[in-house]
Amino acid sequence: MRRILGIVCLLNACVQAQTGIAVPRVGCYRDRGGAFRPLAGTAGSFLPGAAARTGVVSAACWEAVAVVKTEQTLEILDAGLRTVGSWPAPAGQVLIGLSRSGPGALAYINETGQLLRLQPGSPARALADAWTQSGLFEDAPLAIGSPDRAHMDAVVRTAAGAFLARVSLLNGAVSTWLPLADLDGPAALTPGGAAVYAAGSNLVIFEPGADPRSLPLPARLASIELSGEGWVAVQLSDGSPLLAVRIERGREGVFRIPEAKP
Amino acid sequence: MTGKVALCAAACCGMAFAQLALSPVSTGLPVPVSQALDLGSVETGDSLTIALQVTNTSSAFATLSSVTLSGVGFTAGGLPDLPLQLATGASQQFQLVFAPGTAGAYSGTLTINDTDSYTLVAHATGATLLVQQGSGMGVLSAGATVDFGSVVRGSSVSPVSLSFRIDNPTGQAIQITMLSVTGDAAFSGPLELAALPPFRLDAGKSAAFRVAFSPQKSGTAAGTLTLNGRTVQLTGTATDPSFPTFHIVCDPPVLASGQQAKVSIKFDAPAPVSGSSTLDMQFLYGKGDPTLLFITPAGRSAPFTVAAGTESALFSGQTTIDFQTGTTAGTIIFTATLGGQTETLSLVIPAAPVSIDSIRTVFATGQMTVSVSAFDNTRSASQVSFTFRDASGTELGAGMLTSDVTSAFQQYFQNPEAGGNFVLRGAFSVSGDATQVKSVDVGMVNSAGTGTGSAKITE
Repeated sequence: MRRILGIVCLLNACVQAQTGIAVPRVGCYRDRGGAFRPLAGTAGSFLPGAAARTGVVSAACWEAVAVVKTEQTLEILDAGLRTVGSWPAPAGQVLIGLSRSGPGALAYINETGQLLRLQPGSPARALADAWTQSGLFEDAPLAIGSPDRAHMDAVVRTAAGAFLARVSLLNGAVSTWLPLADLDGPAALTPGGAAVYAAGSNLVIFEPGADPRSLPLPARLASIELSGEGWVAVQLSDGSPLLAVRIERGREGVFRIPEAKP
Repeated sequence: MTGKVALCAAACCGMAFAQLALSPVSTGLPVPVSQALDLGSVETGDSLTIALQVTNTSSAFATLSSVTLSGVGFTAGGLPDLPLQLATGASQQFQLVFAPGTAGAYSGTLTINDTDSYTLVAHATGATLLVQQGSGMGVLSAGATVDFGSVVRGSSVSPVSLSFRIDNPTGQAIQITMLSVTGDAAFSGPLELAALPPFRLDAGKSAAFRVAFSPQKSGTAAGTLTLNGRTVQLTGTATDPSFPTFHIVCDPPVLASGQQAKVSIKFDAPAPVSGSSTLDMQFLYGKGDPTLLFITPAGRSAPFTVAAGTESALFSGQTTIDFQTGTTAGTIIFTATLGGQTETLSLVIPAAPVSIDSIRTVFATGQMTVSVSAFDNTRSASQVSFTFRDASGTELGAGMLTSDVTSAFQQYFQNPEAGGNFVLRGAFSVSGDATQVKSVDVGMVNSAGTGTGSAKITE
């Protein structure tokens, strides 16, 4: 084993160059009006930013990458919410699976049942064969994830209940099949492989190999979208303002996002 | 109405009275003295104005010393102060107004310089409009204003209303083609009218109706009552009702920075009427804090309503409204004004050590970046320390690494676009086996103490 020889603080150089301190960003989210916005601040002290996109019907954001779907376009955005990839897409909502490494993503088109790989600089690549080869999914998935280039994660509902599955994108083989207890609403998958789903008016965070965590919310859930590393944006069915829910283990919390003017 | 103009005469000593002729301005034809001047007819409640002139028809200066008018419904206007010298051929104009209150024949007398008298005749036709005045009814002229007085808006008791009556004093039936109340929605009518226009009002008959004034908002309201093209102005004033004493309540009652809390408005007794206003939030701190705001709508002012019979104000249908306490120490002041009553609630956000929200680490070749998201509600951060540990908790490298960040934070907080929030990124050069680094402790010093946080490093 190599030994640590030293850790040298370079902070002074950073702050003297005024690059070491900035406004913190929680992530970005799709508001109730379909605007996609950055969210600055810290937990409970949010500051919604100006709309970077409008007319957004689906969105996901994690660390330095975001994917937004407007009526006719799928876009991958970088940390500055600049477009790094754009593809035409049919109308309607999509499921977005953000990648753990890099700006690539998977998109499942609800309208057509198409599964696409989105990679900046490349045409969208259909993965329908792999998806259908699994033979497990009679209905559309509730959420997808992109743990690596060879697999996809999916939250699926079958007659036997809801499951978190890991599917090979090469041959459709299912390598993981984990039950998701009490799932009865929307779901999302983090790049790290955690399933976040609705169970009544609770938000359940399911990480393979760990006990599920449950956060009570004021009403049933209408939608869940990834909104930053360790955060999801939750729309409740009662029409109340969007929630920002921290799902990071040990730091869970439920907050409301200030409703920015259109 | 009796119109009488009596203006003093002041004859010039030694000067004889010259001949002054009266004529309508429109024709310029002199009216012979003692001859009747027929002004024609006008509908009751309307008025008729005719311009007259007095002309010096003599070859010498003449003095117009007085113009005297008598007779119900006649008035004069536009006359200068008298006496007035008129040169040969010069004229002085004035207006003669006929404004009858009821139908019928009218007569009066116009006298120039107490010597030359002219008989005035005119006729009023059509319906007469009357309004309740005390226990009786008074005639309304066209353009008159009916004042409904001052009432409490939204009053649950019967609205203020006034009785009106249309009389037909003529010998012939009159067709009422229009009778309407327009303008501010506070006015409604005609109410309790036996038949809606158009209807026929026989000779000698009357039609009674009411106009109600029931304002829902405070201030002056204006409307118009129209009868066959004749208009009468309606006015009234609405005042705010008295609401029971109310209180602004915060949950929780003691606050700190970085919280989301709820505020509500509660009354000591049910509100007698409905109302609406805004709850405003101020922050007593020099540089402000944009993260101190209501959630919906995001901002420092939130509209609320109060329903009659309830004891809580509603914010978008909810009895509470969420707000963020922000990230700056200071005093939050909530203010609400309703029905002339103003209530405030002051909440002190105490100074606190730096609150560390999250710590994230990123490894690159030979370098590790630690990002500390936090807020400093004193905006006085001066020192930051990092301690890296291995899996057993043993400090690595040279132990605690400390850096003075006073000037950097002073500069950053010059423009507090995110209040006291900040992310501090520290870069570290790592030599050796970086996988041994399993956690990092962060400490930050400000004027209120030291805030700490730690994070596990998993990759």
